[in-house]
Amino acid sequence: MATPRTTPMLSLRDLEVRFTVGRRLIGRPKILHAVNKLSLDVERGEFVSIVGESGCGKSTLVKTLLGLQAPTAGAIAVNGKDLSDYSRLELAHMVQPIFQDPYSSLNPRKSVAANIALPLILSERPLPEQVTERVREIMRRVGLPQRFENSYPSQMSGGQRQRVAIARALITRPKILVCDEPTSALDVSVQAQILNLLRELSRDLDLTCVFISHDLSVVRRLSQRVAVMYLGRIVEIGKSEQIFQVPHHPYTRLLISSILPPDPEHHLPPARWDGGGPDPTNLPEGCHFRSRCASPQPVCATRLPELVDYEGTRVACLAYEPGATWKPQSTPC
Amino acid sequence: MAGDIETRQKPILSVRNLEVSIRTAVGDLRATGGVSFDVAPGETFAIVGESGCGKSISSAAVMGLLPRAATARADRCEFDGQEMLTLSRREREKIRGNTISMIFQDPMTSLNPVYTIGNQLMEVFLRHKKGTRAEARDRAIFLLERVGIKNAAERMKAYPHQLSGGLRQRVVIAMAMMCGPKLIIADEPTTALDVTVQMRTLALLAEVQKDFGLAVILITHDLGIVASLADRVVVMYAGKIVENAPTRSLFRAPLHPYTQGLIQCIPSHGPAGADAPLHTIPGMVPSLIGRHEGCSFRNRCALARPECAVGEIGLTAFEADHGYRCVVPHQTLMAHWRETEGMKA
Repeated sequence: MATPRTTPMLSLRDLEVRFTVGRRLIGRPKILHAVNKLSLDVERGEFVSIVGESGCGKSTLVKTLLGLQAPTAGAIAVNGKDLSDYSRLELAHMVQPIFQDPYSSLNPRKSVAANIALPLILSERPLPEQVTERVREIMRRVGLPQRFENSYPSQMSGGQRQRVAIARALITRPKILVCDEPTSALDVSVQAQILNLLRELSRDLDLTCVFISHDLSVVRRLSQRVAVMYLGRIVEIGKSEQIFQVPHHPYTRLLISSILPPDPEHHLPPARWDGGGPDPTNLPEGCHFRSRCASPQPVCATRLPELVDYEGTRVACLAYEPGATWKPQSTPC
Repeated sequence: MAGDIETRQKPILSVRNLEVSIRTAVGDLRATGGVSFDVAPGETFAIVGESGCGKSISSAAVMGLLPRAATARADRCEFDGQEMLTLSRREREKIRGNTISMIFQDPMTSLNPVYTIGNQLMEVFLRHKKGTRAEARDRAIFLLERVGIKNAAERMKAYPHQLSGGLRQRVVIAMAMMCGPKLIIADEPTTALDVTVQMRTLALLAEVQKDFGLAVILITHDLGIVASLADRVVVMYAGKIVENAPTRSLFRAPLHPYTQGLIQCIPSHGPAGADAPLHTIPGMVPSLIGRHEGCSFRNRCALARPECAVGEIGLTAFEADHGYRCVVPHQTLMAHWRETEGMKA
């Protein structure tokens, strides 16, 4: 986006995370670029979604943002200060996660109140009555009735557990919330409740939200900006309405056309198999998406496209670079 | 049972009043209470609902795959003229994988990791058909090619872990086709897959079904999948069918308040980039333990009235092939749908 006037809440510069996989005695080990030269600024109070399919590096990105995975190269700054300069406690006060599965992310042996209170107790060493007060306050905020205080996670439904997870993330009053597929384990009617809650909380508490999802339809009504990731790189980023109304990158178009609307007039395209993308440990020269693209050009095999400004969004596709003479066709599914 | 929706063709699967109950420490759980439906030959029949609504357990009961603590009874549960619930284990095994096959959610768990996929495909055929290994092999290669796997003969030697999730699910579809079934039960077949792969897998399933003229029962929580694939659909809530309709009719005129809510809370429903919050259904599914009177949805329903709490609520016919289980007249239900839809626009 345009140069920010204030310090962004979260700033990623050429972030790289590499893993060595399949190390052998002889021969070169394979390198997996989980996150590949990724740059992203998130403003204070902004709701940004990162969308991509399995293997695109979104979970590695989450771990890196939470300080659970050290970047191989590049820098992350949180509120203007490098991530490595934060102590664990300081970072926990700034960034909190919400994970996908509220069945495994909560401690089953602790009551709801104890689950929620733990980060507060660890970080602020408050008085017991302060703990009770803060827990009640945050439970009210996320829509959990007080009678659940002494319940255990196993006695609650998936949606209620996810509310507990949200309450636990918010009790230390963090600035940034990292949500890793927070609704994919939930039923649709409950999913809508949780999405609404997240949206409301992010507005009311001036939270900066990074929302990770594999499903574009989920983020459509939620986020101000959407970044589409493919094999460790952002291939398109822009305002939510723009991405959905006029998607440019062929992968973004593919993702959008994969949304099945509740409309019987919508027909499935013929079943074609594009063979999937390239081997992520052995990426080809040029554009990584070209083997799945409907209109690859010879030039696509020569150079990896960088993000360029195009009609208000940023796209990493050679067709949108100045002077390009073709535009990609939509990839049929 | 009064108000049953009859299909014109002779159904391949006909279920009347299926009740499954599960013994638990705190009492009997009625997983389904009086489920009735017919599946016509060659049609895609969707059972849609949220977790715990009884959609999977109904098909498990038909297939004889219930957990030990569960018991099923029904007035009728006929597949191809054969009563399924009273079959012996051996008779049932002759049907499973042969004339009825199943596709489950996670292809990694439905394939055996220590055998090659060729081996597993051939096994199904050799077990049910009196054919030679060469015939089994030919059939397996033919089907792998049909589901879009290149170098099928070569791929027969692959182990499940060597294939991607999408390819594995294709192998599972090929496996389900090995004995030329009349019915495939697909239980959340694409929930574990990536969105772009889901689309292709569903399209493939639809093609295979058309080519081979088989009936498919599609069990899903996703109304988007239902809309693009199914001919008929039943919506289940808390163990009961609350609406039964042809797909077009259901989306044009969803009558039951639960169906309406379910359609409206899908994130891709409604205007793009809208600033309004998503539609939600307040509250949660009631416990299924013990006996309940009246409509199980009434605590979450905007149109609830005193009659909703009384007695057994039957299926009312709106059109000949569209029924709904609600005491509110369909004019009021339709007005409610239009009004809530209008608020979104």
